[in-house]
Formats: sequence, structure tokens, C-alpha cells
Amino acid sequence: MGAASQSCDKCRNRLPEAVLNSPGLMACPYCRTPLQFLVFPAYARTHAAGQLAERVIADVESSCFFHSAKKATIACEGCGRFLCALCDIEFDGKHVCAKCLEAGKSKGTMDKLEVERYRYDVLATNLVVLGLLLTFCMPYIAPVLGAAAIYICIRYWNKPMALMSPGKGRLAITIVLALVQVGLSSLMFLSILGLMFTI
Amino acid sequence: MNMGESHTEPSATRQTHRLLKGRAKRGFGLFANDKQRLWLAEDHLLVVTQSYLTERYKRFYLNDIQAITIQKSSAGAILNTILLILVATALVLVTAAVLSEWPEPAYVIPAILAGFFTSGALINASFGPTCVCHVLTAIHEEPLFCLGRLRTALRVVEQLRVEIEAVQGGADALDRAGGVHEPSQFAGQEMGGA
Repeated sequence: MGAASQSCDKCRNRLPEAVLNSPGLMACPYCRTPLQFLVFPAYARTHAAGQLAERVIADVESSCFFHSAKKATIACEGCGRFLCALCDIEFDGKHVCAKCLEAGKSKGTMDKLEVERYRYDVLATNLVVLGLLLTFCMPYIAPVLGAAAIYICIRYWNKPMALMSPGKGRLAITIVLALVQVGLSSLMFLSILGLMFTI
Repeated sequence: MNMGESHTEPSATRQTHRLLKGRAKRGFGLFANDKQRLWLAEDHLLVVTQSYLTERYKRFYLNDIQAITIQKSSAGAILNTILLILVATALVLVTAAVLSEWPEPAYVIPAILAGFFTSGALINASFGPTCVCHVLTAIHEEPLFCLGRLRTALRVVEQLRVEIEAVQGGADALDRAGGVHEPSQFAGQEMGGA
């Protein structure tokens, strides 16, 4: 199903206008599959061509930092450099240059540009859970996993975790569980060693 | 201005976003394990997909969304059919074991399996029919697999429709903008169908 093709996903036939924007599900007139296809005004919007930068005519006119022959129209809200219409990027209600946008992305200071995060907290939790499962059958591996989980929690404590659940609660719980797991598995390991020496 | 000023604190991000209903896993095991959630902000829809240890974010600005589609699928019905066939098979085994007076595990194990599959079928049926949902922009089509159940999808899409129309305008705005026209690449194509 595509906005451009306005077609049914199942039979690939183009849907008539009567089916679009129905308040509820409507059957596809061709394959009878119930569907709802909501089209919004953005679909019909024509995109304006990008602005062209004007040439500097008089000496008194400010020129763009990146294109000295072009007239500056705005100052970057990130670094203050003068920008021509070509270099001006409007992002999140602000006018910035490409360098500031790139810097914001690489430094992670513009979270609307962030597209991916590594979940160290999930990694640590998984290690602890695996360690707890192995405590009774492989007590010599479990403390290593617990220690690794504690290391990850401490090492990445200040790293941003999930975008939408940024608290440190998960890391704190993981550390506590890892300590319990290391203690338990060490006890198990020592008792097995003790038994071996007794025999 | 330092670019740091535009940084939104994570807690603030959460405050400005509203969690929408619908959560689902796509695939399981070692090869595919994606979890998806939808968050609605003032000006965009945030699609958060967690794949193993990586979380990916896609932002769809309400002003750019061209269409949202929901299509009822038969995945739920197929799953229930498979589960009911498994229940029937297990019940046949239980009946055969009881009638033939086989030793105890011969009918206990199929009975447990029958119970397990029955509860699976009941849970699946209680969630309602399944669907496929997409959000479309001028350059991208994103499947929203977290809206895999029709009931939830209809509710969430209605919520999104209200928010999008508040930004873009309603049906009259669509008419003013030129209405739903046939794009040039499809001009001359047969309507086709039955």
C-alpha cells in the first residue's frame, strides 16, 4: 500500500476515492479486504523549490561565511556565522549552518537528530540473568558474568540509556542483582571446592 | 548560542512525549527480535524500535505524514487455526491413550499440551483480529508492527488523525490543496481488479 499509488496492499489495485478517508474500515472494492486509508493534506502539497542565494552587489552587504560571493541573509544560531539562503538550514525552529548541525549530531547534543542508541543497561541485565541461570550448573562462569555486568554498569553509568526511559534505576537494580549473583555463585564454587578437598 | 542549548534533557524528552498504545515483538530467537513502541510528541511521532541491544529512533513530523493505512490481515486467524489443529491432535492422542489404557505419561503429556495450545488460542482470540499498519511520507513507508491488532490500531490511528489534522488541517484543507489526485506515474494505468 503506498500513498503515491493509493493501492490495496493485498490485490495491488488502485483504491477509488470513495474508500479513502473513511471513518472506519471499508472493504476494498476488488478483494473485499477491510481497510482504512487516511490521506492527509500533505499528500497534495507541492514542494517549493529550494531558495537560491543572491550575489553580493554592494561592498557594504555582508557575505556568507561559506560562499563569499553570496549575500548573507541570516546568522547561524549555533555559531553566529553569516549564512546565505543556500547554507541556512532550518531545524527544530532554529536557523543553523551545516557544521553546527553536524557537530550537534556527533556530540549528541541535539536529541532530535539521534537515530540510534546502544543499550548497555540491557546488556548488563542480560549478563546478570544469564549468570543467575548458570549459578547452579556452572558456578565458575557465573561470577565472571556478574563481575562483567557490574563493570558495564559502572563504566557506562553516565552514558545516555534509552531515550524514553532514561533513569538509572535499571542499572542500579542490575548492580544489586549482580552482587547477589556473584556472592551466590562464589559460595557455590567454594562449597564445591571444599567438597572436592574433603573427599 | 552554543548547540548545547538546544539539547533536550532525557527526562524532558519523556515529558514532552506521550506513549501510545500498542506494543509487539517481531520474530523471536536469535535471528530477529524487534520490539516497537510509539511516542507522540507535539510535532512528531517517534517510532522506537529495539533490536537486541540497539534502540533505533524514527521521527515522523505530523506535518509531513501523507497517509496512514490499516489493513486487516489473516495472521491471527491462521495462528488460531494452527493452534486448534494442534489441540485436536493432542485430544485425539489423549482419547486414544485413555481408551487403550496406556500408561499414565502417554495421556498426561498430550493433555498438558492440549491445555497449553488451548490457552494460546484463547489468548490470541481475546486480542482480536490482526492487521497491518503503515505510516507514509513523501519518501518513506514505515510499517508499524506494534499496531498488529485491529482494535488497538483503530484507536491509535484515530488519535493520530486528530493530531495530524490539527497540524495540517482537515478534509477541506486536502481539497484546497488539490485533493486526492492520480499521480502522473500511474496515469493511464488500468483500474484493474475483479
